[in-house]
Amino acid sequence: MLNQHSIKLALLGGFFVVSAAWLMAGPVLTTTGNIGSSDLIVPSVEATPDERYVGSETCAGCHETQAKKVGNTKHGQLHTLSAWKGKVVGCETCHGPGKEHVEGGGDKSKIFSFQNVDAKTASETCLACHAGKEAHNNFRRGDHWRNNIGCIQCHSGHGSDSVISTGAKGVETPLLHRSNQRLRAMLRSGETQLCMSCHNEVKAQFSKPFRHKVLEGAMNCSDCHNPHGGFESKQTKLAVGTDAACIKCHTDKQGPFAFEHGPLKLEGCTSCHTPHGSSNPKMLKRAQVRQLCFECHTGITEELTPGAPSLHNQAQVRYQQCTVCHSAIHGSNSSRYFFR
Amino acid sequence: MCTHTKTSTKHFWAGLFLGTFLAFPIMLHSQTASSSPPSNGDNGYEVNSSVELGVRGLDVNGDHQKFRSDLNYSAGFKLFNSSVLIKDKSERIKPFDEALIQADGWGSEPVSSFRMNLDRTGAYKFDAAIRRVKYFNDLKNYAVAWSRLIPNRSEHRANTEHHFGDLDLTIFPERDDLRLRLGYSFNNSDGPGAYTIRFPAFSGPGLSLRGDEFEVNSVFKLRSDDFRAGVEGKLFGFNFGLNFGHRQFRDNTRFFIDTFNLGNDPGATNATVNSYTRGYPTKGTTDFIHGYFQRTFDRIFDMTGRLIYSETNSKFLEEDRGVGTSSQSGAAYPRVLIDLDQVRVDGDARRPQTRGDLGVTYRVTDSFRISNTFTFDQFNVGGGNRFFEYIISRTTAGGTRPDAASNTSSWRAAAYRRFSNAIEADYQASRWFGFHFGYRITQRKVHIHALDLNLITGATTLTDDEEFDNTTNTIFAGVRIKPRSNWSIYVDADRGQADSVFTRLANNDFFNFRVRSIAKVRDFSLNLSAATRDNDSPGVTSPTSGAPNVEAIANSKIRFFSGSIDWAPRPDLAFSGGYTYNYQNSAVDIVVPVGSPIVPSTQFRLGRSEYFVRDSFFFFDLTIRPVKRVTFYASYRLSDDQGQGDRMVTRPEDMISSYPLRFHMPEARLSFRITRNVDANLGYQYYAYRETPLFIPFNPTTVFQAQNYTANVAYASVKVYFGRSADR
Repeated sequence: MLNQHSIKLALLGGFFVVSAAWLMAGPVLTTTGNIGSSDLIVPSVEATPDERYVGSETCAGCHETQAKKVGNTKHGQLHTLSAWKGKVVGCETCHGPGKEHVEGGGDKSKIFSFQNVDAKTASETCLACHAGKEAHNNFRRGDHWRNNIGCIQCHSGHGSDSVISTGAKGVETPLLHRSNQRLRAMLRSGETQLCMSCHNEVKAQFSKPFRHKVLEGAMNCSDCHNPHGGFESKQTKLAVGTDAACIKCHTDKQGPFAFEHGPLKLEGCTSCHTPHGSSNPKMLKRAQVRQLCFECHTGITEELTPGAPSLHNQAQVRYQQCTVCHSAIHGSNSSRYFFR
Repeated sequence: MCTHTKTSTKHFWAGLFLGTFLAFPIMLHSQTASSSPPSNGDNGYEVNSSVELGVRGLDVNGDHQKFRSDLNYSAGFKLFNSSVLIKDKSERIKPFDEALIQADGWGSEPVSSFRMNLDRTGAYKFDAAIRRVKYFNDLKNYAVAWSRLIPNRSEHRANTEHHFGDLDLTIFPERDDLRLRLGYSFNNSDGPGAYTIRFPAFSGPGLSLRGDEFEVNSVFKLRSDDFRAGVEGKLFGFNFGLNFGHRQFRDNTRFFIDTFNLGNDPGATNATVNSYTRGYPTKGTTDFIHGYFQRTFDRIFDMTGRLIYSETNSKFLEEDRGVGTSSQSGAAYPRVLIDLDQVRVDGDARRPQTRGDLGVTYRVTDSFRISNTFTFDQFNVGGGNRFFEYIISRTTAGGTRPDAASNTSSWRAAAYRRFSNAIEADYQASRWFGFHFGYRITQRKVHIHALDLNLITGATTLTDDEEFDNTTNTIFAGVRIKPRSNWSIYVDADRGQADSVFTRLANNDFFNFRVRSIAKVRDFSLNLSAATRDNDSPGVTSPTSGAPNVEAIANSKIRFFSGSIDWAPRPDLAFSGGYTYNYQNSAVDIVVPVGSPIVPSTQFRLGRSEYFVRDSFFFFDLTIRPVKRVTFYASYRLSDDQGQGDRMVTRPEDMISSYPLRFHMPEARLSFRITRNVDANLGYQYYAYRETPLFIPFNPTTVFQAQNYTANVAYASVKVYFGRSADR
């Protein structure tokens, strides 16, 4: 295994190798062309747009509201980017060439509309540009994709209204997500509300006495989950390197410890804790700590399963609160019994 | 506690300063912009902002500790929220196109945040989020002194402040060919608390092994800093990214007892402590390399891969010093006066880990796709310590005793390797109907090794070498139906095994089923969902445990039902409400040691651990503007868990638990629009928490109190809007 010095050398070496490769690679390859499908529209990045395109000014003639909104977004700023110079920018980047639509007097069948296709087809259009960023790379294999939830269910390609708190909607309450947060990433509404508009059952969990402060606005769902999918179970994020998302904030649990409690790294935090919220202290899965301990530390045959603690007479109150003695239960550097 | 009060005061003033800092430029701007509303000045700037400052009053009745553990609000001034959004629409060279600065909750609030987002299209994007959480935990039913008839506080307490910060800068964020990323995060927590230790530490020769538990004061002090740098772009047609990171962390928490302490077991023959200190500095680093690539070939074949290597190291040095008396355990272990129990433990631990993942999707037709996801995870946790203890003691009569020393060394290693592969297909028959199905196989191998040595005698006191591998298979499938364009139904299920070698709480043989219906008609939406999760982990009792050799069960059933509606017919009226029912039954066979006073000597019995949840959650939010200048907001939340009902334990080897409680949370707020720019707000929140106290049969000495409380929270605030946001 590598030592720290080797890692640092590798970090530096890797950086130079990639930089050199990037320099030698020359101009970036572009992808163009049609796919032979009437449904699937891919943002046109053709260097010389043909006569099928009419330009955004023409679109704005009828679609004034959308044109005004999109002008304030990154989508509306593509023309300022050198990488997009000479390419189709504006409405037709996503909606495809509009000449037939215009000449047809606004015939909806002559233009690509995201409303008229299934979520996956619509998402393919977005992914043609957005797939390269790591957070989006697994969208095609994520839970939302599987269930036909596409990009436009959460994002608005035309841009969302900027939300600076307005009257009653700006009400601050511990159990209502603050609505004055600006909508990030062109989301259709505040992130927490958006997630809970489908996952309505988690609102009950986040209203428990012990909970992560999501409804209070201290955290967002995306602090722990990647809504675009990922290689991790439950679409959770990784914290630092390969650590679980929990370790990002709960750094004292990251170890490594000389004596690690098995589940800490091998099974993960959710072996014992309910991450959204719980009535039980410390968001534990059981109301009594000893139940949690005995359900593993018992004499039931399973390989590697630790046996029952032999001296812990449960008829005596002293032994009914395991973590009073085994206080370093996540892991210890000095006690194999997690006493310290 | 004084330290914490000072810290809170410091942050209160910091919050106030921040609010002033935010408000000042806004007010300046409002002066310049007032001649041409909305504030889109000649200089090309457009500023929209708001600041809400106010005061909160608080009256808590009942259990203050539980109130603080749940909510931790305090009375006083606070910056409710503030935001400044500046857009620079000029064509000149400018520092940013858009800047958004927000601050929430500073002052008398347990959760506060400061966020800043700056970006200039084509140049950079900067995001900063700094958060503070005031954490308090002190419960009468968790880690309590078992010998007290009525425990009045927990021995594991915390009254700490946590600060988290994430700062990320991306250079050329819109470029495909090259993006540079830099990031920094910090995470620290400090404050007073309490913990438990066992004394004497490991009990030297001639001392009772029994020891005792003592509540010790602690000063938590943790800090970590992360540095990240990376490059992303496109190379030979592949999107790629290579990121490097370094984390350093330090734990300087210390523990102490500075007055005579009888410990949890105050009997005349039990251990006592006169003074005790423990320093336990731990520090370490994490270095990682994280690379990924992605490419879509002709929009037919998509592939992405990821490789992460990380290595975490920690080093520690523990030093304990204690003075007191040991406990007596029969004639063989008389009570002695411990003049010094000194412990020194040092060592290190290391965890290298590698993760590799590959995902591919082949679009066979426009509506049919096949995907495969492969993941590989491998890590080793290895660590060891050298433990040295030296005890200087006297007999209780003051006579001399030989000094005692122990010197041991331990090593532990765990190697873990896991492969998982999922293949799936999804077919979109039409815009109205689609389905997917797949199969996942997982193989896992765990190897554990342990070695303990007595360095004085050279004897090996423990060796362990175990290896385990398991393979699991899972199938999953789901459909989405759109009976109408505004109505979607989702159904999915998975059945199989989840690898679970260490804990019987996680899935083993499982079946999960979920159905959800979302319908929207104009301004009305209805969301109904239900989910079931069944887990079974069969086993047999071990003959060596002393319990009868029988088949044992471990199963849990979880049921969710949830329904909610949203209705917003007019801009001045919005209503949402819902109900969620959560049902959980968990029943696990356990082998439990039962001894005195139930039976003369400890014996193992086959018992049952059961856990129940019967939770109903109801909520509504109503916003209405009855007249032009007045807005009324009302909300109500109720969490009502009936728990185990009337189920009671009748045998000492059984454990039945739940957490029956009822938590009401109503709120009302009136907003008066005084001028175009100013709102005045009056609000009231009420919290009523009532729980059924923890009851443990066969526990005659401890009576747990119900931690009930009610809290009246009133607040008043003034909110000032500037710029276009005043046209609300």
